[in-house]
Amino acid sequence: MKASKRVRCLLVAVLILLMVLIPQSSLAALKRGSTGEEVKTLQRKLKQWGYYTGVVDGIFGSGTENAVKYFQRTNGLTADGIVGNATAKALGMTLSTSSQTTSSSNSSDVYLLAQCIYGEARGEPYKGQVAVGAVILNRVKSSKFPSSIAGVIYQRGAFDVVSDGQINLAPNDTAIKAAKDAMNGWDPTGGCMYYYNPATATSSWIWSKTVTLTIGRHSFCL
Amino acid sequence: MKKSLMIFIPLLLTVALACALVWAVIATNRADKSELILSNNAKSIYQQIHDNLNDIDTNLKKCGVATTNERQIMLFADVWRLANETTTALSQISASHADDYGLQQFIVRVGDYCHSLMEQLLNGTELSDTDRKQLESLQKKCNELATEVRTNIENEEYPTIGGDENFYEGTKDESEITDYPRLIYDGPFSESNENMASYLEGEDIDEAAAQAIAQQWFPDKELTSNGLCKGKSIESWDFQGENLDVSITKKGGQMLYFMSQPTGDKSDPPSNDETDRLHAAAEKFLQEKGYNNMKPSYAQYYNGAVVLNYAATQDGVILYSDLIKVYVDRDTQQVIGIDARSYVFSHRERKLDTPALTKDDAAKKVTQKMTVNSVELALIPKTAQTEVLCYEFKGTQHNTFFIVYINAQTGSEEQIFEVINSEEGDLVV
Repeated sequence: MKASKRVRCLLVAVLILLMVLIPQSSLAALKRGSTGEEVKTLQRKLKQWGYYTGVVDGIFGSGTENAVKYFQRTNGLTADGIVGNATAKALGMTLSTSSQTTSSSNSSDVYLLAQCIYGEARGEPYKGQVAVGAVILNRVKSSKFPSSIAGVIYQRGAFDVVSDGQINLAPNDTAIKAAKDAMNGWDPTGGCMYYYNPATATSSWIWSKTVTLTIGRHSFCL
Repeated sequence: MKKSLMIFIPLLLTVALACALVWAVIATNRADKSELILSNNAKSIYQQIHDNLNDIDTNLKKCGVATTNERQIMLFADVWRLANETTTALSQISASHADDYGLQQFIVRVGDYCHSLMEQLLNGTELSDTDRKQLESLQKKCNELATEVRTNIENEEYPTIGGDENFYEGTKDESEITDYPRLIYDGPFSESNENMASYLEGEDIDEAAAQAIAQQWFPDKELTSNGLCKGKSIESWDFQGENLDVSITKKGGQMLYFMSQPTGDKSDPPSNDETDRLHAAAEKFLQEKGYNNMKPSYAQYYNGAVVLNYAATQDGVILYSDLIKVYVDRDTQQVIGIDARSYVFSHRERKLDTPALTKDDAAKKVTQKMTVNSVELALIPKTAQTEVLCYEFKGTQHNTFFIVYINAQTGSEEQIFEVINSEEGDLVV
């Protein structure tokens, strides 16, 4: 009985250890012989910056290896010709792990915006999700609010999803796309700085504002 | 068996009770500790707001005494820094937005105003009498606010960090909120900029006329109305169809935007051939719709589409304020969206002066360390209300892409951009 318990404990511990270790150890480093889209990205970047003169064919051959070494030398990295984490970071690339591909966004602002959109407006029409992103960005541009995306989103009491912790949920692809569209300037609200759900909002102050437009369940105001 | 159970159950219950008690004590302790940390934090933030207001007050007073531009610039730089710190601090305490946006706005504008004065002094223009008067009224208000905050601290009346419910609950009436000195200047957060009107021209059209225009763009789609969007500077009639949103300006009946979803979800960088095809598709579309002389500047690839930025040109000069974003589906090479808000807002015939500097003169102002790839004339926004004619130098230095703008009249360095080459973005050179 005791022994089996100990075995079980050990098993659990090993499992946890594996779960922690696997994502790091199986990071797919790019090296001679690698092929695929990531190699293409690598070649394109090296070419853009003048390290690589060959064709962007997605095949990691000697030409690409030399270019990587050249890049590593110029940027103070170990010139081993292998694109591991450090080199990838210097190149501004994200390497995929074998278990899952990393999200397409490498900008933390886009991700944070997407998290807020996902928390506040998942289930709303796409235009309504972009609109929530646009409101946040309109606040950033306004003198009445903090002047950064994080400042606006984490302003005390400003968003329910921050107060109740839903902000930490991983956003889906739609929310990430909506965040990018909003960052690109699409503003379906025409400059709004507030929105509320008429079914749940209780503040008389917000109700006193003129509604500019309604998308899905949200009323938007200037 | 029964006997052992009779001993075992009470024992188990006692142990459970003891555990619960220990847990309760630990949890209460932790909660108290967290609360103390939060309350200390709130106090320190509030104290910081007070100190900053005090320092802004002192600096502004010194500005009234200072006679040299150098000293004034130093003081304004400090006010700008203090104002930024104060607004950050304000956003961290739990307060009613309905009551406090006036304060927030005031502090932001104090910083913004001092920043614009700093630029003015650096360009050699001395402070005007209006500026001095405005600075004096700012100083008085900051002094008043600092005293108010100090009284609150002494009476232990300050916002806490907890309690996030009252964001939109106001206790002040409108007159108390607008009781801040008004500032007249030109900066990103100034009143004149935030309430700037668009350059849109033409007669107002009704919903039916707007629908007819939208229908001309999309003859095959069944469009339903979403009514009037009473936007800040541009009002528009919004319509909706299957996988389509369209917005037509009320004034002038222009396309404000239309958007639909791409078919695929390609996000990988395109080949040169594909890039050319996507640009060709966008340019053909723009020409068909009557947007002539548009020049591409930047491309972004995500979720099955490319967003191509096109700026209007006039006599070969790029007008960067007049921007149209064209969304092209990467699978079908069809234009699936246009966002013309910037173009609609600012497009008009510009009065373009002949540059005093030649291209070569301007090139001498650019650091020799930069490898220049292209030079062009461009009109760039300096403030919301002013644009300057510049030579645009695109090039690289230390493997980083930069765009440097040299004023075509004075030769001064107006703007420097670093182009972030991400997996998704591409600069069109």
